[in-house]
Amino acid sequence: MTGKVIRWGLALLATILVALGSLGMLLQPYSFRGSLIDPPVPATDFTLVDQHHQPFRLSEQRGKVVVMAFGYTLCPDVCPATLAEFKQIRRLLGRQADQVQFVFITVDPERDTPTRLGEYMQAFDASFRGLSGDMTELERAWQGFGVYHEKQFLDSAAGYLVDHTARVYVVDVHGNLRLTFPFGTATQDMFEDIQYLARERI
Amino acid sequence: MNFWDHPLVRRIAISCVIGIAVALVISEGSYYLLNDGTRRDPQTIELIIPAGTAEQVAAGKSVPSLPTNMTFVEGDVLLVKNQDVTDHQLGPVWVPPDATGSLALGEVNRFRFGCSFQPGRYLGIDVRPAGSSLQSRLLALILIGPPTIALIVVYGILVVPLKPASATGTRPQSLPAPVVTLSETGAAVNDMIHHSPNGKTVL
Repeated sequence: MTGKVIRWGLALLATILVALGSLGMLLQPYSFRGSLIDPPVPATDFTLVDQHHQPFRLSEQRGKVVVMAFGYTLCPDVCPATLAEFKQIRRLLGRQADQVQFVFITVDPERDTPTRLGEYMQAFDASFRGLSGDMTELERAWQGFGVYHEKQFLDSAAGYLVDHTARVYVVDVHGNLRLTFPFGTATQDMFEDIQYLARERI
Repeated sequence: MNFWDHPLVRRIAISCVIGIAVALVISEGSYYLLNDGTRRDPQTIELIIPAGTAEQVAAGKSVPSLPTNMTFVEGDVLLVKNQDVTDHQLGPVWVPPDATGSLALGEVNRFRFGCSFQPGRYLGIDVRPAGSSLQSRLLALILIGPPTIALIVVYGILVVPLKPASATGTRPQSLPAPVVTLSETGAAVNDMIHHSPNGKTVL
């Protein structure tokens, strides 16, 4: 009889502990992997042109999470790696992918024409928007996101390379700059943060 | 017989006490032996970039309060408040002007990042394991304790086997002693008596 009571007692205790543990995990606030801007600041607005010659205004993307990278189509290392990560994140997002817009903004407008950007985006994902535009708007975008870029002239057919910021910027559904990811952040970590932000509603 | 009077239960209870004590000694001993003084609980480290920092850096002046290499522990949160009029980057954290950026340092690693307010433009960040969190020490206890207890129980049974309840001189209270009256079972008792050839009678 005593043994039975102890067994039931232990089972009840185990159930309570498991329930409390689960509740604790559920109530724990989400911890972002990326670099969080808290409180969020309104993202600098700009209007550029995509590979289809369609205008892209950042403030018109509210309701979607905008994931941005700055680079150029002749980039030998960082840009292809970043866009390959974007492609992987988009695949991981599944149905939620419609809530996220991936954007690539050129730091080399002289060579990155909309046609060239279109071909480049096509190589990764046709839904990505490759943006270029007039220098005033590009400067506004670069400055607003603290983007560094500098030409490095080479004695080769490539002409020049562009040193540039390799950071990824995330603008939330409210149009606020919310997160940045330094280059090298694990794709899974970026995916989890973006997925979390994509669940938010206006 | 009371539940706690059962020899196996008592032995398991004693083994638990010994096992937990051994686990505690091993885990805490290891912690104090291996702790090189840099391990601590995770915390939030706040850095403020004062107004005018960008100008100072542009003029080639160093920002005196910031070392070129910084050491953190796993789970630390690096909080950077930018009070300057331009954006700044401190390692993995980029902060727009007049904003606050933070990053939870989750993995043990060594990083070398760009830094906009170091004259060298680079910042080394070393993330080491957090050492003394109560959670990790409890986890060590949980991982060491049960196997140690199991080992002590098995070892104890092998070295000092449990005696049968009758051999201990006590009879379990849950099993009442049979009452046999000779008048009812005389024949049966008689069958159990063996008469040996030397005249002695044994049961």
